[in-house]
Amino acid sequence: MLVKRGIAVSPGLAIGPALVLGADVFRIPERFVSVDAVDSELARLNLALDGACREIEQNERLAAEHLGEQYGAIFAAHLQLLRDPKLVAEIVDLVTHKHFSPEYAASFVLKRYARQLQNLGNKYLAERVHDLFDLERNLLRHLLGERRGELEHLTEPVIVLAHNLTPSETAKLNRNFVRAFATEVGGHTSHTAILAGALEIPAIVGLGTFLTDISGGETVIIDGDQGEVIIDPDAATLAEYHEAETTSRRKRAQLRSRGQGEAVTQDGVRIHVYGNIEFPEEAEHCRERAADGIGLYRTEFLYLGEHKERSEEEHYEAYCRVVKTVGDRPVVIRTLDLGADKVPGMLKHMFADAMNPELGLRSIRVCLQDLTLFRTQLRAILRAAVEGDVRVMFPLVSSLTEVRQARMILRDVVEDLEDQGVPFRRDVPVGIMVEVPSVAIRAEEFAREVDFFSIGTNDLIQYTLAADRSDPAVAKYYNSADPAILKLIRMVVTAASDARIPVTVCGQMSSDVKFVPLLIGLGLRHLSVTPQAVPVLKDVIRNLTITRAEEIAARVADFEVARDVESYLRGELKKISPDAGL
Amino acid sequence: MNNSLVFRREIEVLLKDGLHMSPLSQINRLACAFSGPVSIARDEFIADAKSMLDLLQLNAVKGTMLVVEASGEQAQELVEGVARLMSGAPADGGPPGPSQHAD
Repeated sequence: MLVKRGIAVSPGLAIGPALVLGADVFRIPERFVSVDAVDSELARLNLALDGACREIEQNERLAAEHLGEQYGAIFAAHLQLLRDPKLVAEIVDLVTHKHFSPEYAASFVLKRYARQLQNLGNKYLAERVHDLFDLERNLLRHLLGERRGELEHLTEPVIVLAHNLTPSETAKLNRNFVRAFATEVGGHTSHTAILAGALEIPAIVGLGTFLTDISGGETVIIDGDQGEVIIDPDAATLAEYHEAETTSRRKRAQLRSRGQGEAVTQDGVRIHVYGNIEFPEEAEHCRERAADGIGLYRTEFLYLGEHKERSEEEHYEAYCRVVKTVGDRPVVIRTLDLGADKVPGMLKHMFADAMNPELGLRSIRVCLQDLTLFRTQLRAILRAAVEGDVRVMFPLVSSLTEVRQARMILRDVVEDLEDQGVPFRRDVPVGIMVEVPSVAIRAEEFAREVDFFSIGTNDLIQYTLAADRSDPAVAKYYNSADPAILKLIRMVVTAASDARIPVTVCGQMSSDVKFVPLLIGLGLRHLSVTPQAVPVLKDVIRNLTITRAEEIAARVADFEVARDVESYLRGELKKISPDAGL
Repeated sequence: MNNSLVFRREIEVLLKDGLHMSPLSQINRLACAFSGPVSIARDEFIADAKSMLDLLQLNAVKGTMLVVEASGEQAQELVEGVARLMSGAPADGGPPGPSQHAD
């Protein structure tokens, strides 16, 4: 039994067999395949061999054309080595009779040949070992590549373990079969983590190197509440978790039923709890949990995984689906927040040389540069607004100029739609994300130009504390409870209240229940959280009084370091709602 | 010629650098195109000439004596072709290539 701790990014428990995805550096899953898997494993091996051979043939052609025949010949020889009938027969034999995995068998056989060559005492032949290692890598890449492809063709439940999952890989996870996932890298607010929450599957990231210890197929427990991965659990642990799984499911169902109805504090103040969504299907998760609407609809999902331009109709259909699901409740549509980690192919050139993508061309900056992209989306939003209470929000604004530019383009789009006689809504409220410190600092001025604020704590923390939110090495510098962050939030809330515009907090911070009393104490009445967190939040709110929340906020103002703030809030949460911390 | 005919010939490697990747690659290609079995033996070690990995293990340098054996139709032509490659000449009997001359 092996226990690893990481960063819990999506709650819940899952138990199942491990499916290991390879990293760029190939680790051989030293494992055996089950007897009845031999045929499918052999088929996989053949596919990989064909793929590897095709790749070598391509290299041969390229090298011969560009470098000369003699270079092409190197690859020709590689091809002969990989097509060596003896080599293939030996690998097949190990898979068939010893039930080795193709990866392990291929590596085993090629390494043995390499050793034999090294032992011949011939310098020239000893160097050919590198050719064999090259072939090994090539073949493994194709084998493991096939394995990645398998993610899309799952037929039974698995727990995915990987070095890393890209946001598009995460988005494509088949929720029917992928019970949970755990990765070696990644931080609390990486987009992969956000997506895991959105998919409502337990997930742990930032575990550090652990795949070397795993061959795949072992039973794995993912405790998404505690951030623990347990590999090969002993019988007692397994039984304990099976029971916990049942209890957790029951608790969730209970919470869900308690989540119905409005969230009102004990002293009668209504707090609006909205859901953050990424996929249109999630609007249903929000409705089920009686969220007061969608406080943040991230629209980038259309671009995840698919490197192509999206049509106005595709945007329109997705938005309408969300709006219709939530009925007359508000839906805040955030315009494209495309950044370095989710760039569609057609925009890749803009990001090619970005040394520091988080400070580079992303989000609203991309939209203001690629007006076609921006207009297409705005048209779809205004059109979908006919169907319900739609609001539009611009992300990553850093100056008033951007707000004015964006609003000007919006006006242009309004005129176009009018001229074309297309049905749309004219008076769609326009808000901005407050996530760059420059906006928080001048919140008063911004409040005069927009209809609402939404504080995006993830980026606000990253930019204020200069800590990359996806870099585990600086995770300790990235802290929601930092007094500087709390001071900025206070400034924004004050400015919004003076200008009489609503302000919401929509970052991960509001989904963390311990911050809820503080945020309400700071004057927030609108919170937007991952749909899963809606019932818990409502529960906490119903146990709270505004007086108590304000006392908590006043007390927190005295703390000097984030750690003290956090431990104080954790203590207060226990008093308010003992169950809420899970 | 008949199918069961076995043709065997002892050949000395004349290539300056021995049996490198490039001549082995040519020998292997010749053997793979041949319908019957082709083996190349060095003392106790017998390499299947259709296997590049086997051929590499012959560890044949200039002066190494190898026994080439083929059976099947046109076995003799095949063995002669292999012999020419080992001496640095093209398999088809043309003049030796400039980089593979037997000095």
